[in-house]
Amino acid sequence: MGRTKRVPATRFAATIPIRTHVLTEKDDIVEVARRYTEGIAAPGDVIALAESAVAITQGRAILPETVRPGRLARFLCRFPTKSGSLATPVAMQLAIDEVGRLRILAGCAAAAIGKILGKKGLFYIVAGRELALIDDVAGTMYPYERHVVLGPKEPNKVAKDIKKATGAEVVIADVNDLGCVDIIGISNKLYADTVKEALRDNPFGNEDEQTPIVVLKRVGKGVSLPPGVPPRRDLVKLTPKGIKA
Amino acid sequence: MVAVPRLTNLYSRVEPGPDGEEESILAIEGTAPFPFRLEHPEPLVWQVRAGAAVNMYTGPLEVRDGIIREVLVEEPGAGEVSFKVVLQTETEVFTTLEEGPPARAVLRFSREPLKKFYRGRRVVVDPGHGGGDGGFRGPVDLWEKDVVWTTSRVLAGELKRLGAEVVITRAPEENPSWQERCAKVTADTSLFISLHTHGAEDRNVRGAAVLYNPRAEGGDVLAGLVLEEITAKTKIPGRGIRPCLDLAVLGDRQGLLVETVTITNWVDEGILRNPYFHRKLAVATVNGFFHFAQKG
Repeated sequence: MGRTKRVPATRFAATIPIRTHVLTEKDDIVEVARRYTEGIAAPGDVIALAESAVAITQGRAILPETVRPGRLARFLCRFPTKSGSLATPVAMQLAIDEVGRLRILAGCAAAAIGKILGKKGLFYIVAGRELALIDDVAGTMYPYERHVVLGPKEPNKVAKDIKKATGAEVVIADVNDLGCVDIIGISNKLYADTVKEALRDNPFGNEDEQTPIVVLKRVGKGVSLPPGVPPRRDLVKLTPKGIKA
Repeated sequence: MVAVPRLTNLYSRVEPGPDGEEESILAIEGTAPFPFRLEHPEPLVWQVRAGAAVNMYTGPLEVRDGIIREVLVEEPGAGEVSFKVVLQTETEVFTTLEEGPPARAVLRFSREPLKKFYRGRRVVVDPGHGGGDGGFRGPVDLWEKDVVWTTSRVLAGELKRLGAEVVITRAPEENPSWQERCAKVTADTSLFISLHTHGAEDRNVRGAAVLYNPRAEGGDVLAGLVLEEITAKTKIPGRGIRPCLDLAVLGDRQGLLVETVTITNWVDEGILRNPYFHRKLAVATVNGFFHFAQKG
């Protein structure tokens, strides 16, 4: 008899964003995920974490004044898109520190060729995908707007550690308001497509939501589907003077 | 099976209600429908008492959208949560229950007091610089004339949504003189707002400042309220308020010159790329003037 292959969820019944405190490098992300999803996430559900939140708990939010950009960083930061993540000398220096000068220079050469061929994204393909996760100053919500936030370290390991602590599947994702979902780390690759679909409308939020953890509940896993009745409105009308029937 | 509903999220936003009118909503989300009751213990305070366990962070939620000021969360006992909603002005509230998942108790506050105040009011919005005068330039590439144009358009949109009559003093590439800009202020103008960014040689300097017309009664109070709203809403540090003699040409009419950020600072320039920031600035400015008027 062959081994039974686990079938991932074909759809999720609910997307449950969880409001957390402002995470810092003093937090243990495994413990944070366990505590906030306790009693909610069950085996088969998926705990999704925003990649920048994981990175912050790993001490990868860097204050610019602690970085001394070299000549190469000062020179290279003139070339990327100004609204992108490597447009400041500090962010470029951190990128150099992450992958080394050679890969950065190779990426620049690839980007130059890409420009001639009209092909975008070659810099990150050559220099390293992790560099696309760098959020430059002002790229992360308060109180991290003064920091450059790098991508998380060992995201697959973090995902597996959280799965071990919670029993649920785990993804670490980079999501934006344009519907782009990038899975950075995952405990079970079978879930990748359905999770991408579920996160497309960015339940982490991109403003002040403070919901870096989202639980994706499978049908029949402790959350009942809505009965199909519209929301009940005007059950009570309240005014400063009191309650009207 | 989820035995006890667990509260997972708390948020507030301004969104259109079923009748198309904008409302300030406060939503409390849980894993399953949860019992709650609403009380009005004192003026400007509503209290939601919910029976549920808590998984979410229970720190305060600062809103400041002109109607809701903040929400304070307490856990008086096991399985009991209290949400104290502090308003900036009295208004009507409706509740909506959504079974979910996630289940959602929604308080829908009318924004009519804000609309009532602004309806028909004339506000002159002046985007500083323009044309060949770019103003200050950020360390990466943004120019003051462009970012204040963006803020002006967002502010004008916010004011128009509230029913105000808005006049913008220049087109994107024009640079009228100060006299020409101020000439748009008529006898029935309630407020003149000139939008700028600060610039400094020291790139560590950052933050917003509000300058006021020294001839207008309570101008300093108005500037203080607007700066308080801006710093609370955007988290930009405040650089203070001060009188601006250029605004004295407005006579006794209220006029402000708002330096929204210090564009020569790396962080402040970066923040200007975020469209939400311009909206927050606009909301903060609108709220500041509203609360000034409320205080009489």
